[in-house]
Amino acid sequence: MTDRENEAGRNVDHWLSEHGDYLYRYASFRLSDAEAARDMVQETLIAAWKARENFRGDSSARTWLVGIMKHKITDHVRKEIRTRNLSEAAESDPTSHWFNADGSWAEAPRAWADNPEELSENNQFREVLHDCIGKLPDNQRSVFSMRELAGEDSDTVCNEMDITPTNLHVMMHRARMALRRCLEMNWFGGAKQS
Amino acid sequence: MNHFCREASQLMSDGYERELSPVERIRLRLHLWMCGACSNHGSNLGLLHRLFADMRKHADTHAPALSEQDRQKIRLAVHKQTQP
Repeated sequence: MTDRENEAGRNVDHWLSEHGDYLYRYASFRLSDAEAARDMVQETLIAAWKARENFRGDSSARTWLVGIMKHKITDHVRKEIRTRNLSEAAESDPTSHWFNADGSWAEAPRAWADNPEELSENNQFREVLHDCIGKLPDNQRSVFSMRELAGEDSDTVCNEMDITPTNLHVMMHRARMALRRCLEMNWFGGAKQS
Repeated sequence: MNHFCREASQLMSDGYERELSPVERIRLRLHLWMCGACSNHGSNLGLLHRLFADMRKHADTHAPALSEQDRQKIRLAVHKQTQP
């Protein structure tokens, strides 16, 4: 093995062991898709190795790697949004399932009794929640995760994903409707009727 | 009679994304006052919002981590790409 190959192996292994979980978490919170998040870590490390000359050490390796990953995630989500928006253009508004023709609820939402602090510590609930988020269409899942799990503000998501505020609002509304319904069916089913 | 529930659900979601106009706020408030189903929907969204805020605060505690299998896969893929 040449010195160069040795160095490459050391860099990449070091990055993976030191920053792998951090990068994986960063991507998971933005994509809510374990496989895609792992791919993002992989692509980031490959891109970082190819661009290793550019790393000047004036920022920490982690900051530099996250900077690369941001671009990878942006590309990935933009692609998802483009693909999905094209196919959605041909479909009717999915939120129409929840309402009757006169604009009233097809099935009235019920009151939920739980409190968020207890729920967020409940492993079983978190599993159901992540399942429900995972069932959202790709574009909604990513945009919703960026907003609610990663805590990015609306403007940042619009700018990074190159979507209009209206487009974001529609996706967030659809995601919230589907998520609320999924949780009502799979968790709050026993909650008291309003 | 045409119900305002559908528009109300969009406005309630929009309220987390942008500032609603005064007219939107009043229409929504009046509707929620009269409509139990939309009130429930609004409270549920509020609960979800607080829940996500709480989860973000404690993100480190429940952070997903790479499995050893994932690491191995990544290591192999990266080495394949980076070794001439």
